[in-house]
Amino acid sequence: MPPDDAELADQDPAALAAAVLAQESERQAAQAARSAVTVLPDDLLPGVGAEPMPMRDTLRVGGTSMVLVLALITIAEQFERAAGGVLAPDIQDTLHMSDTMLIGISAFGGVALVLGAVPLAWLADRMSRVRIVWIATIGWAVAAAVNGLVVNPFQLFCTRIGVGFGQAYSVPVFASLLTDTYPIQGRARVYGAYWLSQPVGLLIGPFLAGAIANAAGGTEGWRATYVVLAALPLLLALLSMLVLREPVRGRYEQELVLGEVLAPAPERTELPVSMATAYQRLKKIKTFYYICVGIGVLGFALVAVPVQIGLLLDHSYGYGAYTRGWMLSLTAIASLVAIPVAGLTYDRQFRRNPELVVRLAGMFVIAYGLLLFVAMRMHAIALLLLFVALAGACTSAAFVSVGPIVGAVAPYRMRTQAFALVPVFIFLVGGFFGGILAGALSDAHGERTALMIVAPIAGLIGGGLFMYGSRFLKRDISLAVEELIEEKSEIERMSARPDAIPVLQVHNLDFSYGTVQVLFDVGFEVPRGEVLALLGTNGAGKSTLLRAISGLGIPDRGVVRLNGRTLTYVDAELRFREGIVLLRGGAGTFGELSVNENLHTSLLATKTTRADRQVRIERVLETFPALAGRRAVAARDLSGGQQQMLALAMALVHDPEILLIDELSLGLAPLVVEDLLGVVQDLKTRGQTMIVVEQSLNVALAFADRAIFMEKGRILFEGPARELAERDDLVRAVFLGGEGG
Amino acid sequence: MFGVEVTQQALFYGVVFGLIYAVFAAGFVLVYRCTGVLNFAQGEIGAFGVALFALFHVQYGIPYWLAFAFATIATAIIGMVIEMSVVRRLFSGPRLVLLIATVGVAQLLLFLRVSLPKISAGGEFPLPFTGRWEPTGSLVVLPREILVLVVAPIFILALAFFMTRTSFGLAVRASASNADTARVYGISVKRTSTIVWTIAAAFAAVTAILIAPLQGITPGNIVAAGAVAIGPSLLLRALVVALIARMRSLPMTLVGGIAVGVFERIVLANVDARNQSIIDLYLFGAALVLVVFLIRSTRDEAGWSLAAQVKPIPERLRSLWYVRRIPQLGLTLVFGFLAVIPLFLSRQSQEFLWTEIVIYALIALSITPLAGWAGQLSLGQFAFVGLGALTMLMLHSGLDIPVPFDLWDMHFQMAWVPATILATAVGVAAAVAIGIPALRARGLFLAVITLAFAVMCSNWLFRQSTWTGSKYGTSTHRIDPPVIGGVDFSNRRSMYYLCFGVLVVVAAVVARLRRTGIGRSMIAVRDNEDMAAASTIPTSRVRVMSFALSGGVAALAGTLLITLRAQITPTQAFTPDDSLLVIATAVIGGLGSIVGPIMGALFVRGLPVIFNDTVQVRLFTSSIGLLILLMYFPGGLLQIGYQIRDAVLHWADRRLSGGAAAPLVPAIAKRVPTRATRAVEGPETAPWLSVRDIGVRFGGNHAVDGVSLSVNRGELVGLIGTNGAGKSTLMNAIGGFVPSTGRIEVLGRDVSSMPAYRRHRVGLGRGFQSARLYPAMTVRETIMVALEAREHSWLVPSMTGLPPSPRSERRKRVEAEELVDFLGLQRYADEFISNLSTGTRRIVELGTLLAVDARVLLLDEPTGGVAQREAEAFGPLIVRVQRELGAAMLVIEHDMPLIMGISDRVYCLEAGGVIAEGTPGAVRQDPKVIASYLGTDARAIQRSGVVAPS
Repeated sequence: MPPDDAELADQDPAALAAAVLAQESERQAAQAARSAVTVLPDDLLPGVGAEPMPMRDTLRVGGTSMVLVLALITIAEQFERAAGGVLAPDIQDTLHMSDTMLIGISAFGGVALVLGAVPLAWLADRMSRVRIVWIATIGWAVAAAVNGLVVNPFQLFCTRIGVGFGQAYSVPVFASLLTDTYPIQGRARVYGAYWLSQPVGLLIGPFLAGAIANAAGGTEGWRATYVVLAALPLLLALLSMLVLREPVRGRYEQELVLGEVLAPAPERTELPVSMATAYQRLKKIKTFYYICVGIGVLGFALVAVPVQIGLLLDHSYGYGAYTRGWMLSLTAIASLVAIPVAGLTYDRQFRRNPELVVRLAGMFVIAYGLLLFVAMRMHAIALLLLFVALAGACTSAAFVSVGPIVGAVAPYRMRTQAFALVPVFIFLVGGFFGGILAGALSDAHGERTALMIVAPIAGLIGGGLFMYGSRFLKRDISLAVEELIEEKSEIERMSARPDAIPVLQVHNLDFSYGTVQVLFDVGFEVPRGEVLALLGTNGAGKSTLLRAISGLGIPDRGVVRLNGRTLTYVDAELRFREGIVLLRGGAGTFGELSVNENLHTSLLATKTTRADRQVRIERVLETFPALAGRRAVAARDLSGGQQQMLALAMALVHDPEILLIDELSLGLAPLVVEDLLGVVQDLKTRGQTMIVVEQSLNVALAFADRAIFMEKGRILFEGPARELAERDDLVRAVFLGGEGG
Repeated sequence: MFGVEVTQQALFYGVVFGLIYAVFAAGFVLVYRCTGVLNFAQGEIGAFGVALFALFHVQYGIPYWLAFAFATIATAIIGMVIEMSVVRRLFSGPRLVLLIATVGVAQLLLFLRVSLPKISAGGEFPLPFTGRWEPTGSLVVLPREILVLVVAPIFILALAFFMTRTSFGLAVRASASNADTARVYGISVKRTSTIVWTIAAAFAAVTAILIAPLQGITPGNIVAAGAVAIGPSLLLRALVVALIARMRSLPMTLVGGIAVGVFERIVLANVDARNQSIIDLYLFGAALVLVVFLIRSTRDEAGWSLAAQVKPIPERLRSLWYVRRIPQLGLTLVFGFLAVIPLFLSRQSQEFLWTEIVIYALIALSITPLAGWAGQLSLGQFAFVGLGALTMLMLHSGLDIPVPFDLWDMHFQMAWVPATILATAVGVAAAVAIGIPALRARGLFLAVITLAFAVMCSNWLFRQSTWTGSKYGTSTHRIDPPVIGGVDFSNRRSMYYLCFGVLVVVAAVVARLRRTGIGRSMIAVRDNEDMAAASTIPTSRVRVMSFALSGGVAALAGTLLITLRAQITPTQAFTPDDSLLVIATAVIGGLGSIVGPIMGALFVRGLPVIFNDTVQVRLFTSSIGLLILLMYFPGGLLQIGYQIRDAVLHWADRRLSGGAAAPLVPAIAKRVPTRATRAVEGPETAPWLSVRDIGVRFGGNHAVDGVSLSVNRGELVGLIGTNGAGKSTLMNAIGGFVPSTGRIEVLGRDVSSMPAYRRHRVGLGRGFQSARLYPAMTVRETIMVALEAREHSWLVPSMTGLPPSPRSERRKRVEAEELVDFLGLQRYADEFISNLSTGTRRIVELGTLLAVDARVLLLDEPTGGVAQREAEAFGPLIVRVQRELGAAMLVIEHDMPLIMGISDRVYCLEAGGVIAEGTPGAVRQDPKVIASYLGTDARAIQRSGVVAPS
C-alpha cells in the first residue's frame, strides 16, 4: 500500500536523503573498524621484549654449519664474479669481442641472476631449500667450468646466463634458510656474520683470480682460472649436501607465539600459493612495500656508483685498471667493521623497539647518500676514497637489517618469494633506470656532478621511505601473528573432531567489486553429502558468493576452506584441481566451441588418459541423448535448454568434492527443468555434495537438504529446507512482500 | 577491361606480396582473437628476429637453419617476456591502453635492435638456396619469392591446425571464448595468453626473416641503420587483411592477403610510377568500409580513461594559502618555464628547437579533448597537422585551389592571419569528416581507421600538386615569415613568442571549455553514454565536436609549424609514426588535462634537447618511460605531481590534526529546486506515459513481446518479475536505448521514432540499474551535466566566454549547489563518483533526475547494491521526491516489501509479457504471479516435503 501523504508530509525529502547517507557512513565506519588490524601488545610480538641471546647461544641452537657453509658459497660466488671483472680484457682479446658486446653479455648474466631469483624462490617455497642449494651450486660450478672452455661470444653468452641462473638462489634461499635456522633474538648478528662474506670476497677475489691467471700464464690463462675456480663450489656443494639439514619453516615464530611448532602432518600439506597471489599478499605488508620501494630508489645510486667512480678514477685521476681495482677493493674494509656492529645493534634494538631497527636502516641509507655527496666534493684521492668507503659501510649496515625485517613481517609461507623481490627492486627498478639517468647526467656534466645529484637524492628518498615504513612494522608483525593464531585454533578444532571436517567452510566473507560491497560477513559450512540451496532475489549476492568460493574473485576479508585446507588466496585453476567445480548459469559453456570440444576442454586440466576421457564423455552423453546427436554443433547454436545440459554435462564428467550450480533453471521451459532436475537428483542420491543457487524456490526446495536465504549480501535465514517449505508465510513475505515479512 | 593491363609478372608479385600481408595479418589475428589486443609491436618483434638472425648467421657464421632456429627461439622468449611484464600487468585494463603499450614496446625493441653489435659484412640478405627460374617466357621467379610462396601458406595453415586440432589450441580458444569458465575448469587464462604471445613472436620472427630479402633489407642496415622493416604502410596492409578476415579466420587471411596483394599490383601496374601511393587511398577506403559496415565492435570499450584521479582536498585544509594555490602551481611552473626559456638561449638554432617544442606541445594538447575527454583514440593526428600546414601554404602562396570538375580557376593569395584561420577551418572540416564514420567504430577499430587516414595523407594526399605545387612533388614552396602589426617574425625569438602566445591562448580556451557544459558533456559521453543521453545530451554531436576541436587545434599547430620551418617535405614531416608518438606524448604527460600534454612534450622533446639527444635519453623519454608510466602511473607525469601534492596535503593535515572528520551536514529542509522555465506540464487526463504493444527482439529471441502499460500523472507504478522477464529491456525500449516496435507516448507526444536524448528532452528521466554514473567526475559536475537539460551549452560561446555562456554557467553552478544542499550531499560535492559507495551514488542519481526536471521517471532497481538498512530509508525518499515533482513514476524493484509498500499499481512481467496488473494486494494474490515466483508447478511445494530428508 502506498503510504498516505499526511504521513509523508512530516518527512522532508532532504532529511530522508540525509538518513540514507548517515546510515551508510555509519556502516562504512563499522566495516572499517571490523577489518582494521589490531596491533598486538609488544609481549605478543615474537622477538620483542625477549631475553637477549648471546651469539654463542644463537649458534648453539641453530648450529654453525648453516651460516658457515652459506657464507663460504657466497665467497665462492664473489670469486667467480671478481674473475669476470679481472679477466675481462683477456677474454675479450681471445674471443675478439667489442666493449659493447662484453658489457652486453655480462649485463645479460646480471639479468639472469636477478630474474632467476623469482622462479627459484617459487621452487624454494615448495621443496627442500637445502636440496636447491647443492643442486644449484653444482649447476653454476659446472657452468663456470664450461665458461673456461668457450671459443666464441655466443658460447660465452650461454655460460654467463647459466652462471647467472645458477647463482640466483643465493639471495632468496640463503636468507630464508638463515631465518628458519636461527632464533629471532640473534638473527641480525647471524645475518651480519653471513654478510661479511661479501666484502671478504670482494677483497680477496680479484687478487686470487689474477694470481691463478698469472700462474697459468699466456693469453689464455683465464681459462685455467675458471676451471680451478669451479672446484671450490663443487666442494662446497658436496659439503652442503652432507652437512646441512632443512629447517622447519617458521619454527621460531611458531614457538614464540604458540609455544609449539605446528605439526607438518602430511594430511595438512599446504596448497601452494601462486606467485601472483603471493605478491598481492606481500604488497599489503606495508613495511615490506616501503622497504622494497626504498631499496629500489636507493638502487638508482647503488648500481650506478661503482661504474661512475671507476670512470671518475680513470678520467679525472688517470689510474689504470689494476690500480682502480685494488683501490675499490680497499674501500670494502670499512664494511668489514660496520657489518658486525650493525648486526649486534639491530638485535639489541629489536628486543626493545623493533621499529627502531627499520629507522636505523633508513638513517644508514640517508647517510650513504650524504657521504657520497661529500666524497664527490673531495678532490684529494685519499679523502675521496675514505668517504666512498664510509658510504659503502653504511649501505652494508643497512642491508644487514633487510633480512631480519623481511623475516619478521612476511608470512613464513612466502618468505622466500619476499626475499627474491628485494634484488628485483635494486637491480631492475633502481639499477636499470639509475644507470640510464646517471649515464645521461655524466655524459652531459661529468661523473662528479652526476653522482652529486643522483646519490644524495636517492639516499634521502630511499632512507625516507624506510623511515616511513617503520611505522607499520608492529602492525605487520601482528598480522602475521594473527594468521598463525587463527590457523592454530582451526587445527585444534579439526583435530578434536577429525570426522566432522566440513567439505566447505566459508567464514567472515566480505566481498566487493571496486567500491561496491556485495557480501557482508557471510559464513556457513557444508558437510559431506549435503545439498545446500542458496536462495534469494536478484542481486542478493548468491552468484558472487559462488565466485568467491570457486576462486574467480578474491574476497576482501574472510576465509574459504575445502576439507579444512585454506584456499582463500588460491587461484581458481588450482581450486578446480582440488575438487571445486562451478557450473556457471547461462555462461557455463564455450560458445564458439562445438559440443565435443566443450566436453574435451572441461577435461583438459584433468590428469587422465585419452581413453578415460573418451569413456567419461561417452558416459555423460548417454545421460543427455539430445547432445549426443549434435556433437559437432557450436554451443552458441544450441537452444537454451541444450546449452544448460551441456554445461551440466561438462560438470558431470568430473567427480568433484563439491559441485556449485549457479541458476540451473534460468529462462528454461518447465519440461527442460524437469529433465535437468532429474540429473541433479541422481547426483544427490550418489552422495554428491552440492550448493545450488536457484531463483525458483520450489525447484530448489525440491531436492535441497538445507537452505540459506540471502538478501542484500547477507544471510537472512538458514535452516532445513523442509522448514522453509512449510513456512508458506515466510516464503511469500520474502518473495512477494506480503504481511508478516 | 577498363583499359587495365594485367601481366603475369604483376599477378605473380601480387600473390607473393599478398602472402606477406597474409602472414603478418595472421599474427595480428592470432593475438587479437586470443587476447583482444591489437599488437602494434608485431612488426618490431619480427624485425628484432631478423636482426638476431643476421647477427648469428652473417656475423658469427652459424649455419642458416641453425641461426634461424636460434633467432626464432630468442624472439619467442622476447614475446614471452613482453607478455609477462607488460601485457599481464595491464591484462584487465582497457584494450586501448594495451595498444598504446605495444607502441611503447615497439619503440623499445627498435632501440634494442639498433644497439645490437654491428654487423660488418655487407651484401644481400642471405637465402637458403640460389637460382633463377623462368617457367614461361615473361615470368621471372627468384628464390626469395619461392621462399614466401612455400613457407607463408604452410605457416598460416600450421597455425590454423594448431588452433583447431591441438589441446593447447583448444585451451587457447576456450580462454578466448569464455575466460571465467575456462578458469573454472582449471585452464590458466594467463598461461594461455603467455603461450599465444610466445607463438606470435616466433611467428613474427620466422615470417620477417623469410620476407626480409623481398623488402630490400640487408644485414648491414637492419642493425646499424635501424631500417624500418615494418613501417606503417605494411602495418596498414596487414590490418586491412586482418579486417577482411574479420579478425578471426586464419584461412581468410590467406584469401584476403592475396586479394589485397593482387589488387595492389594491378593498380601499381596501371598508374603513373610517381603516383603509386594512390594505393593507400584505396586502402583507406577499404578500411573505412570494412570497419563501418562489416566489423561489429563487440568489446565494450566505453569509459576507457587514463586521466589521473585527483583526490579532493579536505575541506579544512582549504583555508591554507598554499593548499589553495596548488592547482595553479603546475600551470605556473610550466608556462613560466616556457615564458623565460628563450632568454637563456644564445643560439638561433636553439630557439628554433624550442619553438618546435612549443608547437609540439600544441599538437599534444589537441589530443586532450579527443582522447582525454571523449575517449576516442586517434592515431592520425599528424594528418590534421599536415592538412593545416599545407592548406595555409596553399592559401598564403597562391597555389591553385582544387575545385571539383575544374568549374572555375581559383587561386588567390591570402595574408598570413586569414590563411591561418581558413587552414584551421579546413582542419576542423576534415576532422568532422573522419569523426562521422567514427561514430560507428570505436576503440581499436577507430584506431585502425585513423591510422589508415594518416598513412593515406602522408603517402598520397600530401604529394598532390595542390600542396606541393608540382605533380607528385615531394617538397613544398618556401614561404616567408609573416610580418604582423609591424613585428617581423623572421626573428626567431619573435616567432617563439608568437607560438608560445598561441599555445597560451589555446590552453586557456581548452581549460575554459573543460569548465563548461561542453567539456563536461564530452566526459559524460565517454564515461556513460546512456546516462548522458538520459541527461538529454546529443551524444553523437558531442563526439563529432570533440573531433572538430582536436582537428582544429592540430591544424592550427600545423600552420605554425610550416611558418617556422619555411619549407617542408610533407611525406617526412607528417608521418604516422609522428602520430603514434604524439599520442604517447599525451599519455606520458597526463591525458585529459591541460598541463599534462605540455609536460609530455617537454619530456619527450625537451629532454633530448637539453641532454644532447643521447640514446639513453630517448630510451627514457619515449619507450621505457611510456611503459613505466602506463603500468605504474597511468595518469602520466601529472599523476606523479598529484601524488606529491597528496603527500604535501597529508603532511599539512597532520600538522593541523586534532580536528575530527568533517561532520555530516544535515540537509536543509526546502522544496525540490526546479526551474520554472522548463516546467513542461503534461496533459490533465491522458496517461503521462503510455506504451502500446512494445516488442524487442534480440536475435531470434523475443525479450519483450507486445507489452502495453500506462502510468498516470502522480502515479507510482511498480514493475516486477523474475530474472530475465524483460523488465530492464522494456525500460530501455521506452528510453530509446534499444530499438523496438510499437508506440510510446510521453506526456501525450509520440516519441517512438526519436533518439534517446530527444525522448528525455520531452520529459523522460531515467535511473540506471548499475548506478555507474560518471566515474571520472565529481558529484557537483555530475549534477551539472544533468542540468544541461535545463539549458544547453553552445560550443562557440563556451570557447570564447561570450554570452550566453558565462551566465548560463553561473546559473548551473547555483542550481547544482541548491540540489547538493537539498540532498545533503555537501560533504561529497567535490568527491569523485568512483570513490563513492552505492548508496551515495543512488542519492546523486536522484539529484540528476531532479536536475533534468523530468515528468516521467523510470527507475531501474533504485535500491540495487544498497545495503539493507539504507534501502529501507530509500523507499520513502523515492515516494517523497515523486510527490514533490508530481511526476509519473515507473519503478523496477526486486525488494518486494519496498515496491509493494510504495506502489499505487503493479505490473508483473514474465517471459516478455504482462501476466498481471493491479493493486499490490491483488497482484500478490494472483495465482500466475505466485507460480512465476515460487515455481512452475504448484505441486512442487508439496513434493518438496516428501523429498527432503528428516
